[in-house]
Amino acid sequence: MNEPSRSTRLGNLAHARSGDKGDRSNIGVVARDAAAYAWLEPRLTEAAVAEFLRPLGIGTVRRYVLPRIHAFNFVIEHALAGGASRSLRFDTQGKAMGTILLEMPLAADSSDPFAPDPDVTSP
Amino acid sequence: MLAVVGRDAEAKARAAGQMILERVRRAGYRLADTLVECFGAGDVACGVVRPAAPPFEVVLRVTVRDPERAAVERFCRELAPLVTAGPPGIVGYAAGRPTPRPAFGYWPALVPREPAESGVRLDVRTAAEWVAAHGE
Repeated sequence: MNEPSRSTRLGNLAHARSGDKGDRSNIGVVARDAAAYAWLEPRLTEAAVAEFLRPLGIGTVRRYVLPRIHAFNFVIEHALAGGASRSLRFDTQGKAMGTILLEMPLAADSSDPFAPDPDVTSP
Repeated sequence: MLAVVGRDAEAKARAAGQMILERVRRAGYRLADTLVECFGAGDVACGVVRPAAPPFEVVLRVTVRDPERAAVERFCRELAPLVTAGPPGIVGYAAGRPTPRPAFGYWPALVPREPAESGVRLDVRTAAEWVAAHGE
């Protein structure tokens, strides 16, 4: 008997906001509470974020943890096609990137405290 | 013109459009005419045809018209703050602050031939001649 795969999306567990510094994107992710932070900490990794944002043609992803405010800060190299003043994209400052990251699917397991999101297909 | 991304992008865009107009109103200006459009959500087709599924991203266009230029200029100043200090997922102030431009009414009409001057006059002068006539 196979249980249907449980998965959720980052937006069910966190808020995010993003901006730019040169050609780097800076995404702040704040978990909704301590439990959400603890659950995300081993899952919302540099590698997972890099894989999700791969279509943007990004470079290195660095994660900084801010456990006392249940938050992560991601700094992503070469994320803005040249940076705010040079990029030909509409979103030159990467203002959309935080909201985009909230769509990142996360495989849940039976021990997690979160309801599966029917809109999300398993990663 | 701004872009709005995220779940409920259309609702967020329409709320953001109203937010801009409300801030202008609170600054003491009453705009004679305003329009909030949400491209990608069916507003080019004026709501006659709508997308089958809710869009994840839309273009927000807010336009105003008023006899008082200062009111329109106040409106133009509200777009960038919405990107930097407004709800997350609002994008696109790289083109800079828009400037008000005249909204011409046009009046299709017939006029008698006599008052209308026909022909083209050319006045070709060198730069030196121009300076001699008008000064530096």
